Amino acid sequence: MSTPAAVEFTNVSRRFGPVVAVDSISFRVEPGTLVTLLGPSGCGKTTTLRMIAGLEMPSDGAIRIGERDVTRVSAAERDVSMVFQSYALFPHMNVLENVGYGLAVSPMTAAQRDEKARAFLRKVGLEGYEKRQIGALSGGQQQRVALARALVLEPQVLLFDEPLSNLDAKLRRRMRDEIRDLQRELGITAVYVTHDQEEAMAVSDKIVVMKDGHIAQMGTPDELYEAPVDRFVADFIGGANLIDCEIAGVEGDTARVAVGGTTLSQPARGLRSGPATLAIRYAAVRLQAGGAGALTGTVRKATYLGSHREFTIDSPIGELFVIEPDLSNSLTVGAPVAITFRDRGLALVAR
Amino acid sequence: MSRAARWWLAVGWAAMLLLPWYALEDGLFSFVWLRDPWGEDAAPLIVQVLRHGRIWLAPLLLAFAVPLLFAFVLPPEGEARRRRAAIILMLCGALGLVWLFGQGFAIGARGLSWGWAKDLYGDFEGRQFGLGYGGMIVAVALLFLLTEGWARRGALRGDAFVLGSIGIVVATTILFVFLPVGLVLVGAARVEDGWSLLAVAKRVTSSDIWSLGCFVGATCGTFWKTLLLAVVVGALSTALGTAFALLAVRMGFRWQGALRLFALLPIITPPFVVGLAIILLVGRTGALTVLMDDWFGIPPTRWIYGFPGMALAQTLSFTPIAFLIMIGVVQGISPTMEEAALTLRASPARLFRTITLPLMRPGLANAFLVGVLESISDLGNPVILAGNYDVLSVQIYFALVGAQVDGGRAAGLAIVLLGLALAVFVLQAFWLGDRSYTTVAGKGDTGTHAPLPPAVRHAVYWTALPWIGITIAVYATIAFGGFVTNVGRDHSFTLSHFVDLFSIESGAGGLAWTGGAWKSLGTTLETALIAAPLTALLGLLIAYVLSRQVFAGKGAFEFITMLSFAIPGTVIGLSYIVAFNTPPVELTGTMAILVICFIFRDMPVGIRAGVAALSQIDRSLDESSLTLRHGGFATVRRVILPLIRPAIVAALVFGLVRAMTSLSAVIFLATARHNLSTTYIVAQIETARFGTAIAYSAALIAIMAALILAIQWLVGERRLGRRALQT
Ligand SMILES: Nc1ncnc2c1ncn2[C@@H]1O[C@H](COP(=O)(O)OP(=O)(O)O)[C@@H](O)[C@H]1O
Ligand SMILES: [Mg+2]
Repeated sequence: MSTPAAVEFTNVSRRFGPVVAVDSISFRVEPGTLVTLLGPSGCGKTTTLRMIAGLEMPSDGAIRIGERDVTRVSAAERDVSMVFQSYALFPHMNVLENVGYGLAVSPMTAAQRDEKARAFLRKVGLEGYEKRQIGALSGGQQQRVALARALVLEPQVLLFDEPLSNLDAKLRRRMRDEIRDLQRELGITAVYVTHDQEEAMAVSDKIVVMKDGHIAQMGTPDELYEAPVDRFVADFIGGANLIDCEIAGVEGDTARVAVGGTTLSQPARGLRSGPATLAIRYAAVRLQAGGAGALTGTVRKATYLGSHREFTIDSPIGELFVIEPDLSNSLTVGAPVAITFRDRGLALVAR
Repeated sequence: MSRAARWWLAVGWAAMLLLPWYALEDGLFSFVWLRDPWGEDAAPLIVQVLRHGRIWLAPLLLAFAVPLLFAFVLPPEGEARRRRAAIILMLCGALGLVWLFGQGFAIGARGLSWGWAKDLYGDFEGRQFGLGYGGMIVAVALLFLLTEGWARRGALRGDAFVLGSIGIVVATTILFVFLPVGLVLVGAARVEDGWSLLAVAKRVTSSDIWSLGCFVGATCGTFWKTLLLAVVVGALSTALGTAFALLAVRMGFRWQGALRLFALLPIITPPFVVGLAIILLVGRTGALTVLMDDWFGIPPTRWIYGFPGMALAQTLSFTPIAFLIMIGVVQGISPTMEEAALTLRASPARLFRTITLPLMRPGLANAFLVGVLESISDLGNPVILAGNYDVLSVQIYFALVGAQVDGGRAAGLAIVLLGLALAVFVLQAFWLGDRSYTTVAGKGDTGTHAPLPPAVRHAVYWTALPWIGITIAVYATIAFGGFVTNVGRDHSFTLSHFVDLFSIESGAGGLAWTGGAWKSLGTTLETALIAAPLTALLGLLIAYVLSRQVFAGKGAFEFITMLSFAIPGTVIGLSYIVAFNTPPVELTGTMAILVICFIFRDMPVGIRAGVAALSQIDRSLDESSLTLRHGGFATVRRVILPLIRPAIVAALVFGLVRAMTSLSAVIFLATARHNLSTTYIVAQIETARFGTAIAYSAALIAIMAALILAIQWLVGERRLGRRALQT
């Protein structure tokens, strides 16, 4: 079994003719952790992942896996395996043959290979399916076969390209937990690509948020949520009302922020006096019926969703989208409300 | 250094130390050379350098020694040094190849080849012959050192197999397509005492090619005659092919199976056999001619020799190709569009004119151009039917094997023919290529086609049905002509033609193959069975590279690989004689030249079949194999090949059939020792032994049908059902 290895990108770019799919990115994945590449479609996640696999060669920069510089090493010679979005199972082989495929080039005997493949099929809960044809499996089962096929090689790094996008919502939730559990159990280094922010938060040790081929921010899920570096990350991770504000002054680490006639104190996070943006999480807005205060608004839209309520509020600082966990707070459309903010869930970012 | 690189180094060294460097009179496998293995003829490279003073070969030793130095004495550590080692490997491969062929062309059997070199080194004594196994293997090893080094530098995702494939394809295409054709162009400049550009101009613009005399009572030039015939044949076969396609798809014709057979039979019919059957039917002593004379007193004439006969024979031969193209086009027309037009109150006639016909137009143009290309490339029918109507291919043939051999004139004619064929090919590839094929995608369109207007229905019936009659008559002649004494004159049953051809006598020394056809049949089968798998392999390899890899110059790569399809067989045949008669690649008179000729002429069929099959297999399948420790080669073997079995069958069958039926190129290359069925049959026709010719043709067709069935059975059907493919 190979020991989990770090993955390190140093100023890596990939161009396709005039298109710059990945633009000089650097990051490091610590051994044994799961790091997610997250970003909107077309931001270069898949290309980055494929460069780790060796299916795409960087135009510039260097890639290291563990101690080894693999920048120009072909896919077959890297100790990496990948779970594809389409699963890419071989239709002319049965389940066991699929799982044992990668072992065929190892020095094991056929019996040892079979045994190992069976062991990993057991791990993904597919015992008894060894002789099934691929076409006779459900989507979820195919996903598990693909997972077992990648895991059985006990690679230094395991890659996932949107592995859950072909499954229905319920199965998606279960599979992502299973993937995370297996990854922890085996202590494997994993890089996971998704465009689904919630999925990323659920499985990752760290998230790399990408935009237009750049890294927008890298950090743990709560770092990204609590301290987004810019409007894009604030909006993409967890969603936020992005409200224009003015930093009236900065004392130490604390900024005085003027927004719509009220003044708040917020961590300055390196920003200076002048115009800025306040990212207000949906759940960080508190609404009080009919109340008066420094900031008031009217309810434009109210939706009851069983577990919570959602409101859209017209206010002097702009439109606010609000999630209200307190179901008893039943505001009706047109009702005037007083708006205040909770202590957590606000962050200052550059305009 | 990679295992592959070490392996090729070892192969190179082994070849240089052990194998005869030059080609041997008796061939390697006669082992006659073992009597004097270090002599001037059979010595390997190292002995040639040390003992026979062929010092100019020494740099090749260096090309294999330097990488060794870097592999073992200074093993590369660290990324920078590994890259340097890769570059060295590339350079050794590239420079070695350049040197190998450079010296090969510079120093021939009569010393220095070029005048200026003679002036410079007047006292140079060296002579040498064509490359043998030693030389060839060293060339291959050098090529793979080059691609290995290149792959180590990360080219093509570091996949040495893919790079090696591209390398071998490009190298062999240059050697066996571009070099020979280029030498033909050079050949046109050859005059008695040297070279002259003026001679090229004179030969290419000669008035017997371009004369427009027929407008003023004389005769026109060969070019115009060729073009006229091609245009007429293209138009006729397109019209007929379309009629059959409409009949098959849009008119509920009942005998679909018969139509399929009609489309497939001509593929296994050597092209000139149709011409032969026509002679037997309506020639001066043909069966029908005699009947007409007996019953109606119409005197027999030779009208069939010339334009009418050739047009008839070629149209018969090429209509099935037009049919295959047009059936795709007609099926591709979405009924939804026609239904939309119908709901707008269009009459059937208006609908056909304004919707159906315009949708078919690119397909029609494509079928027409393909027909034109086939016609100008055809040699078999013109050779037996041309009479006084000269076309380019026949003129080239007679300029080389006729009463007065004139290589320069042949080269001039070949240039004109090549230009015409390439013009048509380029027109077809760029103007129409994509459009006419995308319509063939199997769309899940529902709806029913609008009825064809009555006028169109009648036209279809009145062209297609009589034509079926003619086709049946032709094939009946082929099937039964061999069993009568003399078609037209004496219709008594006999087996004598078959006995002449295929008799076996058991004498004192066991079985004696006394029939006249055995030798040519043996060579035909042997070459075809060697060539077909290689053709399929090369074609599918190229298809894999084309559909799975992205690299600079891919468009050009695709174009050159398809180009050999467009080069008329006569030009290829002529060019092979010119190019491979002298060192460094000396192949004239060998069986190898036949096999190579087949491979490079028929490879595009394999490419098309492969590309079509690969486009149905998701790319992520091979990528996942690559990430599962399988290199390019293992991926192809374990994932791609099992999934494209039908394409393999198609490529094999086509390779086999085309090798066994081809004439235009090999008629120049076959020799008494290596005679082929087709050239044997043509010789029979030329000496008016029609019975033997038709009997042999029928036997050939039957053998091909049997072989096709055997291949299908051997390679088998794809083992998985449709559902299983939908992962
Ligand atoms: N093989 C390719 N050729 C040309 N452009 C490509 C290729 N692969 C990706 N791209 C382009 O690179 C950009 C990033 O693609 P990708 O990495 O697939 O994005 P993501 O996975 O984040 O959706 C896109 O603009 C895409 O069109
Ligand atoms: Mg993607």
